[in-house]
Parts: sequence; structure tokens; C-alpha cells
Amino acid sequence: MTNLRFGAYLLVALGFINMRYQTGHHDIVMHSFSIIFPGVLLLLATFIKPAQKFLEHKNTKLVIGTMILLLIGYSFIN
Amino acid sequence: MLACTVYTLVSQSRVLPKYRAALVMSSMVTFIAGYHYFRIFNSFNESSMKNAVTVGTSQGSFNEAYRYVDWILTVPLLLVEVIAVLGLVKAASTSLITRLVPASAAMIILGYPGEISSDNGTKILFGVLSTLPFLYILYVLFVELTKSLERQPEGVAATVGRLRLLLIATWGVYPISYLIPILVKSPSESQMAMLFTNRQIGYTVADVLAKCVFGLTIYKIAKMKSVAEGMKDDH
Repeated sequence: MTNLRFGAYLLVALGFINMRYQTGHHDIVMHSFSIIFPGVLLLLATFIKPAQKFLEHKNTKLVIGTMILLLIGYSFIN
Repeated sequence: MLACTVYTLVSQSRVLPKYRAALVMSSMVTFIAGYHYFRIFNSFNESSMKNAVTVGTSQGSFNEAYRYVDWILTVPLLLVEVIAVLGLVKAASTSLITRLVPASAAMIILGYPGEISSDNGTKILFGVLSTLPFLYILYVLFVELTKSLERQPEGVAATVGRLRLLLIATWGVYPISYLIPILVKSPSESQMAMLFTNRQIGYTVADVLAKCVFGLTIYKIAKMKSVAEGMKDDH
């Protein structure tokens, strides 16, 4: 759970730095918010007990881990 | 920064599980800082034209806000990283986190208005206000690190002792860089460019010291403590 929390925090952090870079652009929602929102949702989910059970499944971890890596990649190219 | 991220990530297996969180936090701090530098280079390119850089808060200008966004996200982590490696009891860790994290946020938030202001009076005012939580953090950490020396295994105490000095030496570079624009009264255009460059160099050096060197010291402490607590030193 701690690693997922760290991953979520990383997405929020990268998203906010990216948002500073996108300031003044028109499609900021598609760029920075698509990194921040999943990060915030995941961060919140790691503190909710029923969601924690779901997040602890091996397959869920795999999917979320892949999603985090993809979003990190996206934060460099957008 | 990114090399440091990779190093601390691949070194996880060299320390006991209870110290791994400190290494993960160190990796996050350097990765976020590395990303910030990637974006700051983009911003620098966009705002540069014919050897001149437009500085300001508008689009296309080089904006110091990048650093402040980076710092507000990484400095609390840096502090939690120190607390994690000390291996304190939960109540003591929680007490430190609740004191240090808000103080670090206050330090950065109070520094920003002075950073973007061109008026020296405003710079000094917010510089002083920002220094108050800065001194508080140093005081709390210095006292706690000193207290924890007695509980550290033999050999580790000396490294933790040096961590206190490293903390003051690396964090001390930030206020010096902040004060650089105040050093010259009514600067000419070329002097302003020089002051701007020197400040960027100062902040960058401070970031490398405070994030990479500090993170590597944390790793060293975690490894020494792991060995002292029975982990085989076969790596």
C-alpha cells in the first residue's frame, strides 16, 4: 500500500510541475489534469479501507503500476 | 538527479525492509527534482532569444515558480526521509512530521513572494519571514538528530552527526542564492543577467547537494544500520 501511495504522490507532483509548464495553454485539462486526477484518486483510495482491499489484489497492483508508468512517460512528452 | 534515483531504487535490497521507505522517498525526491529540471530547461529554451532571457510570470517567460512547486512537493518528503531513517518510535516520528511538514510548507510559501518581487524591501521582508520556519526546522532536526545519536549503533552515530552538518551546509546555500539579487544596488542590464545566472547556479548546486548528496548519505546510514542490526554485508 505504501508503494502505491508513493506512486500516487509522484503522479500528483509531476502533474503539478507539468501544470506550471502548461499555464496559458488551452488544453490544460487534457495535459496536466490527466496526470493529477488519477494521482489524487489513487492517493485517496489508499486511505479508504474497502478500496485498500481491492488495491491489494495482485492484478490490480499490476494494472495500477502500469498506469503509473504510462502516466509518468506521458508527463515527459506532453 | 535521475542517476541518483536509479541508484537508490536498485539499492533497496541492500538495506533492511524497515529502512526501504526512506530510500523510496529519496528516489521520489530526486525523480521529481529531475523532472522539474527537465521542464525548467524547456522553459529556459522557450524564454531565451538572442542571448536574452525573459523573466516573469506570463506565458513564455522563465518563471521561478517551477522551483517553488518542486520544493513544496519535495522538501516535506526530504524531511520525512530523515525521520524514517532514524528509526524512531511511532509517536516521536508522528510528532516530528506534524511539526516539520507544516513548517517546511510555510518556509517555501513565504519565500515565493520575495522571489518574484523586483523590490529589494519586499525581498528582504519575505526572506526574513521565510527564514523563521527555516531556522525552526534546522533547530528541531538538529536537536532530534543529536538526541538520536545515543540510540544509534556504533559507527552510525558519526555519520548521523555528519548528517547534521550536511543539513546546515546544503540548506544554507538556498538563502545565499535568494539574496544574490540584493547584492548589487541599481544593477545595469548586464549585471542583472549575471545576478540571474548566479542565482540559478546557486539554486541548482543547492538542489544537487540537498537532494542527491543528502539522499546518498541517508542510504549510507540505512545500510550501516542494517548491517549493525544483523543484515549480511555481502553487496
